[in-house]
Amino acid sequence: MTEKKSEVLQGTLDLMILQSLDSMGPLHGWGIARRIEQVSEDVLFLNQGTIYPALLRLEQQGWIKSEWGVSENNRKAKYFQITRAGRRQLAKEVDNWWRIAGIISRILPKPE
Amino acid sequence: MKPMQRIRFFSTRIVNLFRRSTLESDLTEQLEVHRQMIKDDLIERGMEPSQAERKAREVMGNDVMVRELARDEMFARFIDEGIRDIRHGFRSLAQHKAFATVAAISLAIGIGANTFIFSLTNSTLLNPPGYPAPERLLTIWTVPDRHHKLNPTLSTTRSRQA
Repeated sequence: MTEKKSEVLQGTLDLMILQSLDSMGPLHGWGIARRIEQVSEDVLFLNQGTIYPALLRLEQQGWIKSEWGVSENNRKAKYFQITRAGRRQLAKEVDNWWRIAGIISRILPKPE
Repeated sequence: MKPMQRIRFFSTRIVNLFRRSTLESDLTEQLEVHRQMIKDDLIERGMEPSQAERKAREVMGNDVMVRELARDEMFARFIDEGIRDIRHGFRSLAQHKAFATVAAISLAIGIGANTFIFSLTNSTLLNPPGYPAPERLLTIWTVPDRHHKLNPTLSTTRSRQA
């Protein structure tokens, strides 16, 4: 692991969690972390504990819901699932992301 | 935030203060399970248990910080911290009894003296009674005795005043 890892960009963790739950169905915290790392091909540096404050935030906003279940290894774990409102929010955020990314990529020079 | 969202935001966080221990133990359990899952996975891939334990902790990040962030999401911090400050205040007063006593006494004397001076000033200088010669005002009451069976009249009172 000599490769340089990027920090999670402020405010993008919520978005990555919503997307993971949208494409994978119900997941527990570790499942979400693994999904994010796999999709990012392990170049994203994520303190996995910080997923939990984000999950609390998303749940309070009604974008995800949770319930206790049993993991594949027979451990009691809380499973999270995206709600209808969460899907709407995700669509909105994705649009927003590409708009901003488009603007910034037009401003910044391309790397050599 | 829209007004309705704001109301929900604060009311949830205030209600959560009453479910504090459930929420906290929920969080502890989830973090614990998560760490175990990482560890199990690493061991399954052939890592030594003690090393896997260390690695799992590292991957989870700073536990204290995570908990603080989670509390920010769960509770209305200003109320929570206010309650904690008051508790802390009482506890440290209980620990320093002599100081607490002196502080209580000086507060009592201070407030007492102030109230006394104010009520005196208020009733004589600021709001004197609305009639002449208030200093000659008397309170009259009667004490039953053997010789006077009836209530004394004003004239008998006057004659006895000497």
